[in-house]
Amino acid sequence: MKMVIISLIVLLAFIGLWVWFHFTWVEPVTSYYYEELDGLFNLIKNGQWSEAEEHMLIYSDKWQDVRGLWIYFINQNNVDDIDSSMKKLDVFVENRDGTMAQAELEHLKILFNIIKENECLSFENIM
Amino acid sequence: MVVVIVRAIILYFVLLVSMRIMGKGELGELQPFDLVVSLTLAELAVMPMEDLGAPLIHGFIAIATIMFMQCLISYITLKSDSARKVICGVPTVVIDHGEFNIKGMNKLRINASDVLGQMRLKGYCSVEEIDYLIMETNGQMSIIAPNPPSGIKCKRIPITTILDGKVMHGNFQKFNVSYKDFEKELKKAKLRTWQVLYGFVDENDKFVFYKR
Repeated sequence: MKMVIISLIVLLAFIGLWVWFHFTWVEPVTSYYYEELDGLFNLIKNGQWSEAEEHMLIYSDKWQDVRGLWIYFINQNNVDDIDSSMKKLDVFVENRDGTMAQAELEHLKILFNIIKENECLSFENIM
Repeated sequence: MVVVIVRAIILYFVLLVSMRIMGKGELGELQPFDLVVSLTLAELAVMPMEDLGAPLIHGFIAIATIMFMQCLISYITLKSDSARKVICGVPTVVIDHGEFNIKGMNKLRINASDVLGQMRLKGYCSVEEIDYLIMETNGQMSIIAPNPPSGIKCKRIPITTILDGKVMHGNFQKFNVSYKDFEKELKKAKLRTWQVLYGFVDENDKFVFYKR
């Protein structure tokens, strides 16, 4: 019985860790980027480049904080994809390339959405 | 490359601790679920070792889950006899005083040849020497015999004439056994070849047949 309890505690600790990570770092972060990138899309569409650049700076800084924790829980390849997409978007905004920036923005939204979908407990993910 | 080494060392210790928590039963692969755990753990440990993109925690969580399931199943089988029967199965008597348990053998998917091989491994030459041959729940066969194995005293190993209803023609030529004598003895026993599970010539040149 002692071993069952020990192994249960270990398992519950991991489940607790997942709950904390999911509800503190996955759900809010992905929702934040999903909404914020919509706003950025409108700024780019309206040609408000200097504001778009300011927003980009905030997103990049926040992403560095998020990335630092995500790499311990999420597949490195997914994190790298976001990294590279974020950098591309930054360059497109810097060069004021509207079409490419909008396309990359949509790509980035999809990447965040993939993380959100992959991390949630759903029948599709289990199967 | 160094990352693989570090990951391998970490996973080695995680596995070691898990195996210690799961107990000694796991080491001996005593039951079907022990074998399942061994196979799964080996694969789970390799996954994060090889895939550098996968976080180590994924491996830890999977190992922790298997460890918990193993401890839980062990506990249940320890406490409940009916659960033990379902999870581990029950021992099957394969030979009972010279009688082959055909139904049991079919259920275990073993044939007379497998049984004879196991008998020889334990040092018994003939079916007549043993009282019981039992297939245990861990897949091992145990033999209960009135006397110790006569393997070393055996003049000659029994020559198989029929196995699972099929005549072993090759053995007649190889060991100079008269086919006519065999047919005569079979007739005398009022048997057809298909009715015989195992037939052999013992060390005293006597034809012995075990019915299906």
